[in-house]
Amino acid sequence: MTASRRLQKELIDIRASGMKSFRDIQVDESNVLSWQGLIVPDNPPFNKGAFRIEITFPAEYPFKPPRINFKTKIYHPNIDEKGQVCLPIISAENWKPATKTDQVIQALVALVNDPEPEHPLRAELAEEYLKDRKKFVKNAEDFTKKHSEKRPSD
Amino acid sequence: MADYFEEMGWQPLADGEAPDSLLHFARLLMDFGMFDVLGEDKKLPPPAAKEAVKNLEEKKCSDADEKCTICLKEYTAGEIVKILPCKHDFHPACILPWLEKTNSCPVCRHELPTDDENYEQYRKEKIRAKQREAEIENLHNSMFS
Repeated sequence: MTASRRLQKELIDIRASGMKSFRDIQVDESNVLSWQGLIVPDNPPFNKGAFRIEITFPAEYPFKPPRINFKTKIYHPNIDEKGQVCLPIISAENWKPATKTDQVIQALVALVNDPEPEHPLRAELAEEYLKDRKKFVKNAEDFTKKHSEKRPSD
Repeated sequence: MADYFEEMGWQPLADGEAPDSLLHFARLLMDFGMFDVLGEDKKLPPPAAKEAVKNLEEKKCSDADEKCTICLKEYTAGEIVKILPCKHDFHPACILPWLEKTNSCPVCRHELPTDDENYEQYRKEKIRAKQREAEIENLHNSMFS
């Protein structure tokens, strides 16, 4: 099967590259189509915590894109309460089989660090982000402290 | 200055030919930007034309060759790979299923022709719209610079 063979390879490469912003990658040996990992953002207000995500690959991967879901609650204009995120690089019409998972993760980390209020999933947060940045940062920071996971120490 | 029909990419009616109402309706939708609203630009383009897939260039790999960007496996010497017009190469078993789904290169999105007439028409219109925009831009620049 192409999917699992390619994913094994990608997993080895990602683990070897030692990404700072995506850690603690857990993959069940029996099912390489589902990954979990910890997003560790650099920019405030999200740099106060870490966020667990799940990446699910379809059986048709890489002909169909993976899906990403946040397991940790986050106060972010582009991520909704169910943990769904709108990432153009993995939308059906933009997806290309040559796109690798590390590029997808980098795009996701960039989006977490720098929200895109022009294409929000949560309009009220986008509005707050644009109109009252101080309040947004304060709320997001409080929310992060309360709900997010601990950042790795190294 | 191109004439009106030419600029729009339209054929004038021949003697005794009746106008095609469906075509007019489609143009009306397009003029009002309705194609985008209807999601025409969000759909995955149709499969590559069978003829184009059949005629894809092939080559035999020498051992120094790189890897297939779909399965990420390195090519072995003597293996046959398919080459798209944009010069990106893949294993036949990797690229053929993709081209049965859609018409673009997995690396750069270079589009192969399709067998879908409606899509080809849509693609022509898109290219023409871009050209028109560039021409208008040109005209403005020459007037105001």
